[in-house]
Amino acid sequence: MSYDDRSVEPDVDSSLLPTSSAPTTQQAQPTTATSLPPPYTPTATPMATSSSGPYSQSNATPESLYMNTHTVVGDQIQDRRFAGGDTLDEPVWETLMRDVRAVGRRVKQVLYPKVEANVDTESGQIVREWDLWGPLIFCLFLSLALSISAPAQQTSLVFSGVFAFVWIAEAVVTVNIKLLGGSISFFQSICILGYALFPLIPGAIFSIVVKNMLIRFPIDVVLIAWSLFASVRTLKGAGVREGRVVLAMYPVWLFYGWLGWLCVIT
Amino acid sequence: MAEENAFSFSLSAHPLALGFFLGFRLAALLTYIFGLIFTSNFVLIFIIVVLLLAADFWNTKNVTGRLLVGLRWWNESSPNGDSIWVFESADPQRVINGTDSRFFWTVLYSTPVIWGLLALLAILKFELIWLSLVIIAVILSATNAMAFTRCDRFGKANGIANSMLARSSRGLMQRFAGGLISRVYGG
Repeated sequence: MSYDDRSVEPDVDSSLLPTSSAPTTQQAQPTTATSLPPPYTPTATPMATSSSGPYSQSNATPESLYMNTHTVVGDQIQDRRFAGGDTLDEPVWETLMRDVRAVGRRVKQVLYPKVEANVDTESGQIVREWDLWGPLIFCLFLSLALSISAPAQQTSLVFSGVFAFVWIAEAVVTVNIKLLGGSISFFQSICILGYALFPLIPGAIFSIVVKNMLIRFPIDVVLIAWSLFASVRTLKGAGVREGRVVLAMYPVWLFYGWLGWLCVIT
Repeated sequence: MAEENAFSFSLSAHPLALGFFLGFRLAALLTYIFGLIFTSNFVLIFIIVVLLLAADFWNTKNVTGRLLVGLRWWNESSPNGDSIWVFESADPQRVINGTDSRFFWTVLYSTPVIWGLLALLAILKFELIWLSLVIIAVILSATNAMAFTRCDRFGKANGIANSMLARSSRGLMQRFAGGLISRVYGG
């Protein structure tokens, strides 16, 4: 789906076009990106001018102000001329608090995954916007906790190893989901996988204190199951092809399983 | 231009935003360069630099860009899973302070260059473990630089880049770069 071959519009300077993998590659995503909700929410039609969400514009926007182009990896680029809206000069505090609240909302969703019900609108809304603060913080914590309980001369190796592993594995799992027909965007998927890392952190901290592997094991199994449940439930709307769902979820299981295993053996 | 050499805070319309912008960038750079003098703990320095880089990225994208030069960019997800990158160019009615603009574009472009040089240094010294950190820095700062350039399609950034190159380099470099730029951008 998102890999349709579409042509690039001739008036776009393609050397400056970021593709879907531009700000995020292997090593790290301390990227928070987005979470500045735009004054306008686009729909499937390129020239839609409806605005929705909490940041609606005060005046209707003429279509000529928006140019939509498509790149070959299925990302769209939109160029807009600023045309009003009230978030351009808002106080910094508001910008900050909006993002802080969004992070808090997502962490809560991981901690208390609601089981189905009319969660579609809610999870749809949460899934639609993404930010990478949560994944960054949790990844740092996890790496730190695991490196503390590692032997002294391996501390920095374990730290950078876990850090790199988390991001690379998240990227790989995301690509897997997309290739299996997932209709979720690259960053959304990384966001979900990253936030679902949260339950593993107490596991890693626990491993610092408790040295006995037999005690660590069942606890980490429970935590892995929690992570898995939270991420699978949120990813369910990913629209993977029928019969391929297990194929898409298996790497997720591997990902959390491996991190949980690290907590056990560290 | 009357404000050719106006790099002073007193002429800025948003001194606090400018201060934070420079502050985060410098802090990340200095911590990386001088961190090892104060502590031999790689993990600590890594975490501090990563957090500073993340803070700088967020700050530049969400605060500095819109306050200093009135530009924004972000990424949205469409219902069918596409990413949409949106680049908003400035409101023509908005008055943009010359000092702010100059500071912003200069620092925006020089940061990835500096980190790039540090990356080269790390490669030459075979410090691959630090290289991972520097690569993160390069990617983040370059992303902001490219995205804001894309927002500003109507020439302001290029004008400043032109004058910067003309002033800072002498002789061969100046002739080469000046000729290249005037050819590429039509003088």
